[in-house]
Amino acid sequence: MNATIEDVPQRRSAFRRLFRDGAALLALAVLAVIVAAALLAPWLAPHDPFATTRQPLLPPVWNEAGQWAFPFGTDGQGRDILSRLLYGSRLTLLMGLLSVAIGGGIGMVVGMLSAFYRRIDPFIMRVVDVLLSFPAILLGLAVAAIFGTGVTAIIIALAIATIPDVARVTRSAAVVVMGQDFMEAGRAIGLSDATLIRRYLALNCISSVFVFLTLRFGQVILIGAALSFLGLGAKPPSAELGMMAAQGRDFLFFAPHVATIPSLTIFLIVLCANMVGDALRDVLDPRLRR
Amino acid sequence: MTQSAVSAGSGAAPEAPPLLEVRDLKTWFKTEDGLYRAVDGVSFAVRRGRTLAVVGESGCGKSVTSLSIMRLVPEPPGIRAGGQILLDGEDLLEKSQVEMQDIRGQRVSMIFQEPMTSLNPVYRVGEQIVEGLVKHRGMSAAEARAKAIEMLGLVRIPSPESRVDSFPHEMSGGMRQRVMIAMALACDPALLIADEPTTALDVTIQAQILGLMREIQARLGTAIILITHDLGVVAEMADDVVVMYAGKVVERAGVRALFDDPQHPYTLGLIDSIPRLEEKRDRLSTIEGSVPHPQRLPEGCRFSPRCPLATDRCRNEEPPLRQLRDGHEVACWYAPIDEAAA
Repeated sequence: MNATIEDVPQRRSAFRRLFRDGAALLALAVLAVIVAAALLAPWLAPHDPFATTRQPLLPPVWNEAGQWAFPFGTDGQGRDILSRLLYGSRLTLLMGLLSVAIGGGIGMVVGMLSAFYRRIDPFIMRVVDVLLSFPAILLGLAVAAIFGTGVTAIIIALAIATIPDVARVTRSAAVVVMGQDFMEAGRAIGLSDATLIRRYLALNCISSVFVFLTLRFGQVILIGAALSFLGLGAKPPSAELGMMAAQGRDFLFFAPHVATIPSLTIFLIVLCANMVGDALRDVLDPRLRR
Repeated sequence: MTQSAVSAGSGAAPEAPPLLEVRDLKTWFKTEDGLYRAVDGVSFAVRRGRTLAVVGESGCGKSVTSLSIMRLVPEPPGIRAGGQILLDGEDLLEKSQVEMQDIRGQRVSMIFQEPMTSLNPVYRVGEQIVEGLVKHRGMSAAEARAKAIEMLGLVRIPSPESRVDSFPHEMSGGMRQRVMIAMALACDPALLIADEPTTALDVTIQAQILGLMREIQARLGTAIILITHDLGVVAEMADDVVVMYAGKVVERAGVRALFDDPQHPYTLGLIDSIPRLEEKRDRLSTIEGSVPHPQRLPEGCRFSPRCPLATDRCRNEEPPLRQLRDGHEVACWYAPIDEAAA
């Protein structure tokens, strides 16, 4: 009960407390830099990410043979890895964001309906259980089989894979909100179900869902990269981090940078997203507050 | 107060049909361990512009009665097992939930026991008042806001123009209960159900809220159903009183008659357990035992296990609610009680 009473002031100082957490702040900064770099790719990229040169597998600058013209070296076809990385992050982040947004949105609606209409709750939750038991990779393969490979297929697969988890998290948050007196008070002034769901239920469980989605973002990018690595994602000329890692596989022993640099970038994005998500949860989730 | 008590005492004369008439209401709950008859054949009437108090211990079915009138009892597990709830002659039990949305907040409103948790914490209080106005009155946002400010002023919230933009957590319990009242009355309903509106507040604020409700009733002519376990509040507020015990009405009377001449042993017990200033007592008298578990109701009169007057007849036969005199009904074999005592 106290949580409800003090909810808003705590939420207000949430950002202040987030900033006190040094590691989370660093993670947020790194993530911001990556996002900014991805957004500004056309201006930052030193080369055309698709143009090949006659210098394939050029090592990065920290190697003696490296050249400053290609700071991270070139890949098997002589394309500038830095430029591809910038464009690749763009696609990877967009993929993660879209699938989390679509899957999260649908999952949240499903979870709220499940908590609001208790009659359909058992049915929805069983469907969710079934969806939960599908590995995302398998789902990705199935979607790719239906829609063909490509970024769209990956986004659809990842969105579908996100729905059941989000639905469960939302439902558990919404069940708590449903038990609060203000839901009944809202009914008592004659609000319709739609209004109650939109203005009473959604707004009161959005913070827990949002935290979960932040954590989910990292996972989705990882699975997305894995799907691209398996060849289900972006088609070759375009750049995507998972696909770049996959292409570097062939040269792993004599030019390891081609695979490791995109892999490390994925690692960095996922790590930072998870750290920010964890910190957000600590700050927003009253159950974890000491 | 005196005035209303007098008018209640003389309320025998036939007058306009009541605003709300509850007839033989039965609200049951189907649970895993059986049928729970929370409200089991309750009847009463609420007159326009008057206050009816529903009194009883915890668990006697008061709150379920009020939720039944609002049709806010979740079904399942709730069952509308019978009866009628006639608001201006229309049976609310026959309405669909969509039809009820137009009635709630517009014709019948409710305020709740816990002002601390009854307001949506993520909305400004003004927006919560506005919602009902926009829905029921079709007002524009600006009109509704002006009306919300007017309502906050009516419930005596200082500087309503700025308070309208406050969040609930920025207000005290008394203020929030005022906001709840403003919300409930914004669309000028004919009936306000107040479910223990002052239980969660401290005594000085209680008096203010009760005073406010009386004042608004005088101003707007709203009828009030006041659910309470506090006989002090009843004496202060009510015109008519219904005493409930274990899902049944045991006594029904005008407020003056009830306090001057209580007939049911349970009512007597309740009145006896009020501390009095003029008598010095070491212990307050209590009613022995507690409300029976709804699945293990006793045979016969439901109060018989706790009743000092109970005889075999009480334990075997359930006494019907019968009229002693105009406007005073009681469900006890031994009423009128003077004869029984004699």
